[in-house]
Amino acid sequence: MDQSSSYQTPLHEPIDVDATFSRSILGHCRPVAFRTKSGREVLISEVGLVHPRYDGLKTVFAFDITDGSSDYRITLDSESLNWYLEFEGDQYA
Amino acid sequence: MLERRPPNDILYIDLNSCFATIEQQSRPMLRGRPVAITNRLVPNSCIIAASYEAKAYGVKVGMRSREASAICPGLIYAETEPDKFIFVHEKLKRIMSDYSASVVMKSIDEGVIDLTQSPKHIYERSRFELGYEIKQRLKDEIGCYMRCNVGIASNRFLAKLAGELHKPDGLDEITAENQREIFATLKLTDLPGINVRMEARLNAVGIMTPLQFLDANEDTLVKLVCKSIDGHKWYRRLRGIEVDSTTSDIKTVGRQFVLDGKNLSRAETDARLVHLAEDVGYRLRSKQLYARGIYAWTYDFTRGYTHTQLIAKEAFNSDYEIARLARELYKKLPCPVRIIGITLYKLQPTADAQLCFDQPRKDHIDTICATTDKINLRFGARKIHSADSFGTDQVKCKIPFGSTRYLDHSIT
Repeated sequence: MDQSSSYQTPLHEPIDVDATFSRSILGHCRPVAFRTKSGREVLISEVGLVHPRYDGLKTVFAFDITDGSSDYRITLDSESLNWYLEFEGDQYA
Repeated sequence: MLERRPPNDILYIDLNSCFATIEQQSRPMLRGRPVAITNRLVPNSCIIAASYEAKAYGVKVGMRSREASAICPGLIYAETEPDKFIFVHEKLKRIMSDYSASVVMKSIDEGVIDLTQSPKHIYERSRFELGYEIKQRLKDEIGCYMRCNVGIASNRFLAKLAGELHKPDGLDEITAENQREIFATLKLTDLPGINVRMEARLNAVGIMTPLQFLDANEDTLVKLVCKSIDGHKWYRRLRGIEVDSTTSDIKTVGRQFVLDGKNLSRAETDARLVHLAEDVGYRLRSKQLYARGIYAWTYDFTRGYTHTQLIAKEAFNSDYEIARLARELYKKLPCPVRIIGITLYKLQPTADAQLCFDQPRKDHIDTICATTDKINLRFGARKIHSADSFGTDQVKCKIPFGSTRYLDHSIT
């Protein structure tokens, strides 16, 4: 393949997330920004899709987001309420 | 005598380039770019969906990635994510269910709303208004990049055809008044259900266009074209009368897997086979069914398709029994192979009432199986499984084309 999705290497890196909670048809929780362990801050410009992933009775919410130059997937574990950076996509400039 | 054509109460909703559009919805950086979806990101994989940008370059479903990359430089590949697609499927189904008590999902990305089962305040609204509202709700409730075709007609066949007239994001209605005008612009193979073989049969009796097909008399279709009751069905289908609303029971349960290597040993292939048996067993038990027959098949690298089958003395639905029978059958099949598959048939709702000599052992296996299912439902798919299928995570569940029977989150 010449060019492929970089959603291949799972990171599963714990992150800090700023999020808003509101009554919205697209879901109540919207992440606004996140900070990685190394101190890198990413401002989220758009939330593409929020979908649940089920692991038995546990639900993990996956947020596919972008900062305008890269795609990311961050997840919220509904049991532990921890956020993780799962994948970072290619920059298709 | 032919029944009267019913009013236009059928809405056919079809997501455009579903898997590619969902990928573009979830990853905004992919929007406006050619994207191809494959089941596995491996060299020369098969494309199962392409975005409209990729289709503009000539990329088609079923094409190999090497060929697609040659005609579409910069094509971006993404792997299928069943969770994501199933979420969109469920959202779509929920939106559609707000309009009628009778909603049938025809596949993961398309479904039919029968407005005859709608409440009065919905039934009395304009069909176009409902269509535009569904399109808008798709954008509001899933994401702004989601688009769908809406077809309106008096039966499923014409509604599907209407939905395919203006892709992407179309909304069309076929009525008794405009049907001839629309048919005049189409080829026979543009009609849903008409493939090249059916086209050849129609051509053989002088039917070359959809209009001639519409004008053909019932006897010609029954006696010369279809040579069966299908001729009556086509005659009605073309006239907007519903003949496709029947539902069928589950006749078979199966799965297949394209092996992840060319030179897998018999033991490695067996491990993948046991994984398939566990998936098939779970599906069977999730529908409270038992099977009597098992059918195993392969595609090898030289001889093509080979299969073998057996009917068991007693009905079964445990993973252990399915795996045992499948392995027994596979001993008769060639190795190495490219694709393996298991299909269970002769399904029945209960186990055999007659006790066998081996009953305590059989009960013991069933108990283990039921307990395994409970643990997996609580803690997640394949948290506990046979040691014989250890290390086969690559045999993960893919998108089921066609039937939507097993689209629930507890699937293994």
